[in-house]
Amino acid sequence: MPATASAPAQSPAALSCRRRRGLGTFFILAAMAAAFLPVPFVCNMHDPRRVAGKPDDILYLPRGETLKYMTVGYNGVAADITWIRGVLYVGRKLSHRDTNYEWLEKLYQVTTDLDPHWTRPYHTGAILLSALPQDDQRALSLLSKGLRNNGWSYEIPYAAAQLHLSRGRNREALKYLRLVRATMEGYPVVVGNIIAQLEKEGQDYERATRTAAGELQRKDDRVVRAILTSTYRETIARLLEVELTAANRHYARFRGRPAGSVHDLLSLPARGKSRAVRDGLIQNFTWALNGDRQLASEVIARLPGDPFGMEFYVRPDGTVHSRGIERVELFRILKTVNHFMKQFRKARGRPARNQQELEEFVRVLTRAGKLREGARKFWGPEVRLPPHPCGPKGWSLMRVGRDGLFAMPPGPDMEKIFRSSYPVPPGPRERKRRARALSRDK
Amino acid sequence: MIGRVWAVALNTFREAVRDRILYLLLVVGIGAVAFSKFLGEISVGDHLHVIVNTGLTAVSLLGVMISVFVGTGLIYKEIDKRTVYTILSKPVRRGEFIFGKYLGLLLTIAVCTGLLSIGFLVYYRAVAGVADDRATGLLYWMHGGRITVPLLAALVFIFVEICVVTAVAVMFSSASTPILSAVLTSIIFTAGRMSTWIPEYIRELARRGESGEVKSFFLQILYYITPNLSIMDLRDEAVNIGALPGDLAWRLLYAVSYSVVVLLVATLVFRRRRF
Repeated sequence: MPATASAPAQSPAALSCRRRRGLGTFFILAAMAAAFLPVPFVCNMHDPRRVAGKPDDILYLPRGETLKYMTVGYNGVAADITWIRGVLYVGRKLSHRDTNYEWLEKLYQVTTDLDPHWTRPYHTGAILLSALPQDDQRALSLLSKGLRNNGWSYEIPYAAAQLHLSRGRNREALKYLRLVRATMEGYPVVVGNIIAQLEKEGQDYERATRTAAGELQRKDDRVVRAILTSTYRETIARLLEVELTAANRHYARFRGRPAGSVHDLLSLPARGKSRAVRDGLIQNFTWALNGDRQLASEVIARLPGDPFGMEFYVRPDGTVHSRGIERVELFRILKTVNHFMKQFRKARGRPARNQQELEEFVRVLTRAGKLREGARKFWGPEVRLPPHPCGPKGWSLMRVGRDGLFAMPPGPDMEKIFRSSYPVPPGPRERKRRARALSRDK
Repeated sequence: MIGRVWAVALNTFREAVRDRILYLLLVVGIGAVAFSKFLGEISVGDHLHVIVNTGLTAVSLLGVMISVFVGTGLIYKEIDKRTVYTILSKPVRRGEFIFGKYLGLLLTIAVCTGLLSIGFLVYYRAVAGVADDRATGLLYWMHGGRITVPLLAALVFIFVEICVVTAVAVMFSSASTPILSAVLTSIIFTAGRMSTWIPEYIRELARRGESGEVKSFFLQILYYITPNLSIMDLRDEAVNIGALPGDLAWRLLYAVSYSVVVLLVATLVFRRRRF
């Protein structure tokens, strides 16, 4: 009994023995750890793959389908880890200035196999694939896979559109942006505006007007409406140019010569089966403005006034043009041209004397590879000034000011042009307000 | 009867919370949730996705591990220490004992996973995001992710999944040793998590022309025997989709029915057992 009772209370000798034993174990473990420390260095010394500075060669990654089984349903975390591995892979490559991204696509494929509904690896992965190894085909195939798995996510087709836009493939970009606008929710507010701009650039003015008007009918935000209104003005001006030119051809068939002014053109009455020009225009614009006949009538009633507070006019060849849009276009062209005029002056110490001298200067820059992609597109393959918006003789009539830059011809400034009043489709809030006012009046 | 079951359950709970492995697992779970912040930081852009994934996985693994490590030794320990005699000599039926043990363990798991879930949700709501310098007061501390209904449902269904796994663990515990029970429960858990792939595998075999009738038959039996745990995994809905499936009630009913059947089997086995 005494022996059992004294068992828990150990003697100092027993304690020191335990302590010694504990210390011994600790030292053995420490020695083992120290022995293993140089292992990675030794491995690096003898493994040619590791010392060659090619970590790709030792990166082993099973197939996504295989990993899915191995993770026992916890594939979300596995996808996160693979994604982080991809982030680290890109970081390492960038820091080593290594341009061989052999494993990047594989990492994204595995991540998306493991978590097919996680959208970021698709869109961010595609952007990285198109930017770093510049592998558009693989980037687009990753996005297609994403679109198949996540038909509800706007981010994937939006990334595809961005990719196509960055490569100048506007038609393909437009296809994806239309898909976003038609079938998805929560997409950025600029999508509608980009679609309208692309349709305008593709000279599909009717659809561009319809898109811009549709977006204006949906949006209340002041800033968004301001951006959309500027696109809407341009598209509607272009559409009116096309419609009025067509109407002038119709006028020439009846009168034997084209109309001398828009006023004359609009005065053409109905004859036989054809409507009066004004009525025909209202009908066409009602469609382009998504069925808003009142708005269409207001737009036509403004003629010959254009959406920029200026006027439409008829050129001798019978085509109708908007002075407002010519001014806007000229302003945009001069911005780029004057940038090169400044460069010319800096390089030669004097302003360019004429158009030919400036073009020759830009050709030299092009040959030296000093032009960016946007500027190359502006000057075209033959490096010539773009056609003047006011006609073939436009450039010869332009004057260079004392500062050595092309000056805008006299007329209203751009601020005024874009702030001039014009009938614009009302937003949801404004429509509600009008409906309330109407019901009150009744 | 309820009183007797409850008495066994309460005692099981008291006994289980004394188990040190429980605290070790809880610390590991909390560590995993805290570590998710670091993972989120290096994920570039989708840190909330990483944090939710890691958090849900930590809660699920914690529950499963408790049910495997604690649940499998539950009844064996009573037999081994012979404390089962003192219980069964009282007016307690063997079925009541099994159900009591099961409920006691579930209570333990509910407390542990509940604590970890609350910790995870608070962490997710408060710390997971990037603080907005302009925000003041409470808003400064609430810059994390939004707690959505799918996220809460995912946590609830993790517990439902654990209920099924615990029932399996108790069944094995009533018939064999803890180590064997742990191995078998782990196998059933893995098979249950992968059971939705069995039909895919059968289709794949048929496509390759390798599927014999016997093989398909056994695979189908395996599919129906193993618990379909993947239907209780709502991680994808909580993290990516943001909406719940319409058949949640059926899934819940399936889990309850499966657990009851497994516990009845456990009772049958335990009734035939001689100590």
